[in-house]
Amino acid sequence: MPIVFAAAVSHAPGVTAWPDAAPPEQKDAIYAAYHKVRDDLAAAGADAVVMLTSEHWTNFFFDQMPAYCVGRGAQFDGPVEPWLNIPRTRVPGDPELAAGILDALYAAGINPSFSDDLELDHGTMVPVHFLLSGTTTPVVPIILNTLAEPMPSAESCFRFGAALGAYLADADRRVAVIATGGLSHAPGERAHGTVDSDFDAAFLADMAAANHDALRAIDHDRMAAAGGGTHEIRAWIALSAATGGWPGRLLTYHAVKPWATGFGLMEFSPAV
Amino acid sequence: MSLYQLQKLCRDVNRDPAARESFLADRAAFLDGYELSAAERDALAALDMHRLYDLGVHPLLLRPFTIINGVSEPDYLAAIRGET
Repeated sequence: MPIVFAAAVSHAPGVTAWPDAAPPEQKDAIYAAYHKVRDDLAAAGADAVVMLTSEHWTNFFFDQMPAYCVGRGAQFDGPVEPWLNIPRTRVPGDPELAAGILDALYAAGINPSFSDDLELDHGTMVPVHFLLSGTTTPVVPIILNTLAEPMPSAESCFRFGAALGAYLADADRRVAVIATGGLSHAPGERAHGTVDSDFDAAFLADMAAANHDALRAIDHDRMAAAGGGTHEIRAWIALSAATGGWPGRLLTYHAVKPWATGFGLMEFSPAV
Repeated sequence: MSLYQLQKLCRDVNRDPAARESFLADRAAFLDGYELSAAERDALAALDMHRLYDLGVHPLLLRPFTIINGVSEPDYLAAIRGET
């Protein structure tokens, strides 16, 4: 059946690790937006959440770097960061849904990696914490390589998302899809703290309009120029493809200097 | 130069509590466990963050590694920016 809910959310760790370092109006707007996404997700009655996400050298390294890794485990533990202010949690997985997704992707000629044993870092645990605390909703994390070149291109991620969406549209499950990461940020780089507001504004406009021609053409180097963390927006691109082009409504966006990230949250639906 | 080994060392310290403990207990001995160039070894021994950055250590490997070495964010940024 069609996806029951879709949203895209940033996961800068400052949001839980040092929330009050941010200007109160920014922090309050972001928390309110996260709570709205949580409530709208709950109201949608999903029986599973597919999370298009990224990570930060937790599971993968240069010894083995998948472009995409579907988490097929029965459960996932996280966060790995003790400083995140998110309690160590066991997040239920959905091996059957993950297996169905994998079969469909392979049938479509897309051959992602898979893992039955992933630890989750802030990339996935921040949205899980805000959106699914207190629920038993299982999660299928799909980790995209946004760390080490070569990364899957925007075009490749778009096609990945489209194949995922096609499978979910026919599957007999009520599935929500959440993309996480972005927007522009340059953690640990010389440009740390700089946010490319122009890039973010243009990207958010293209996401809101489901401008697929633009989204699938976003250049790797253009993302890199906005900061190495900007590569995470590939998850958002895949999400737009997975919905088949749902328009988006921006809940909030702020360039949060103390979290060194352009932080945004957006919800998508067939009729905005 | 063996950027893979250099980054592997940072990643092992960041990710593996036992490796972190070994590293903090005896840094020189820990470095012996990796095939590093002289430049890489020197940069690590001196915690020359500017040099490590320019040697190509990924920022998301380097910054956590410096946190484990007790470096504050302002000091880290000043170092990699060549302001110190």
